[in-house]
Amino acid sequence: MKILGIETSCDETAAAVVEDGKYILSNIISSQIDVHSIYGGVVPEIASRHHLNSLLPVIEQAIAPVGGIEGIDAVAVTNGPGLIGSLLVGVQGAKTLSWISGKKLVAVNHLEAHLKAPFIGWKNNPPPEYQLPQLSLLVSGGHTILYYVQKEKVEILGATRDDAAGEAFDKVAKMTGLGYPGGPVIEKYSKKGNPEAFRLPRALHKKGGYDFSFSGLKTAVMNLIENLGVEAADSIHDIAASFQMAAVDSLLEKVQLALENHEVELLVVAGGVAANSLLRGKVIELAEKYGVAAVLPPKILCTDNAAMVAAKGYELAKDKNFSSYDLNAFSSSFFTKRGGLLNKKGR
Amino acid sequence: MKSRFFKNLTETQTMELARQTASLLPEGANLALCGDLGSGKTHFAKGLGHGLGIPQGIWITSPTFTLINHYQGADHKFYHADLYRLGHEDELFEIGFYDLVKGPEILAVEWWDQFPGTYPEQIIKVILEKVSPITRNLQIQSEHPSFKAEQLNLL
Repeated sequence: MKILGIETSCDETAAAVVEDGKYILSNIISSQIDVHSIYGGVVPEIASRHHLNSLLPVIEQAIAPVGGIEGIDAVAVTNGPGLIGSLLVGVQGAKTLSWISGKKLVAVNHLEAHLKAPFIGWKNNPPPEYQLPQLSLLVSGGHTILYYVQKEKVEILGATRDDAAGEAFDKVAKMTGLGYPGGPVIEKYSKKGNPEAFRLPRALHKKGGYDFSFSGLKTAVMNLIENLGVEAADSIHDIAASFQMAAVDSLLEKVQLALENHEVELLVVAGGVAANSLLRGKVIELAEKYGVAAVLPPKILCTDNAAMVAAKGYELAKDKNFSSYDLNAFSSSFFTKRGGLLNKKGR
Repeated sequence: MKSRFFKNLTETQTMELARQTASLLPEGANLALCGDLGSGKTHFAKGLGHGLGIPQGIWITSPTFTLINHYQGADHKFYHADLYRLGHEDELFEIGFYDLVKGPEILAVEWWDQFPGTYPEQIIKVILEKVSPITRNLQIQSEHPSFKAEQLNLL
């Protein structure tokens, strides 16, 4: 079964065709980072306008290798969570395409799609085998969530109580004047810095369970910059490196705690921050220590993409979990202490 | 305009004032949460949300990425927005912001002060200022006739 996936929840307009939820036949991403770097952040109005301009060319490119729309079996689209205006462009596009082609429509949750990303590959470079149970860390600009995935049960062990990890990278990059997006610039400057130059706060204490917090770390970097005053500019590499180390440590402390308390086959890290080299290296080390296999998607599948949407869409289509044309987009999900996820699926 | 000023608040005291503020808010109140990165705007919004009856078990998190988060409290809907990533006030229209300003829900907005021309007449401004790594000054300036700021009281 070939599924066309469409993703417009934030920066990227993306479309992809994936076969049987596993093999990428096409994966087109029209990155808008250049436009946004001018403003030091994602600019929603510009984002939705760009989605409008890019959506059709991106879809056309994605379906060309399978001979156009007739070559696919269903259309899967992200309907949330994300920026409502941006999501609506993709949802409306997918509905229209579904209606004119007679192909079924599938609504995909963006976060659930990220969990699929590590298990997609190419025919000449097949993905790792899907094994359960999994400990899965999703880290991006908008989300920091630790999942325990068992057969037919996805449990949220913890989530951020304040800022997302990727948001902390972006805000620290802005404070230090390093630019946007925060992840790559912090990583670049960290390479020439000493990660032990400044002592910054780590994870929440034990009472925080598996929850994360990055607001205190962000504020600590702010205080550090203020204390250094004019000398901050000379220490920019050390600040970046110390922050990056503290952020990665904070993530891994909770992952390690979860590994201690759960039976795990695979340790999976996904989301935009999973592109960070320090995090990738340390995750592999930690997995070795606990004798579990680490799965890190290639960087192209870490950031928002439509292949993961198509892969999740395949799973739903297989179960005949289709959507009707009254499908709507939704913006947020909320997490409860007990690990429940409250959201409106709109399926 | 009614104004209140509280000096050198700890994190716990800020939270307490946010909860009290919530209990005094008239229907449809709009709050601008002002202050630099790390001054405690999201922290204040947490107190507001819980003060409006959002259960303790639900995390009120930063809306920087999502722009607008909505929560359902016991009796109130609570919208928490963040305009940090917006570049121009036209974009407020694009994200459906003005519907929330006019609506009956409680709306608390971070970085609204980037676009002061878009404040409604009855705006309630909460201005946070970092004094030290662990203390904040907090000023409340209310243009809302039914918001009884004088009842705010730190024990």
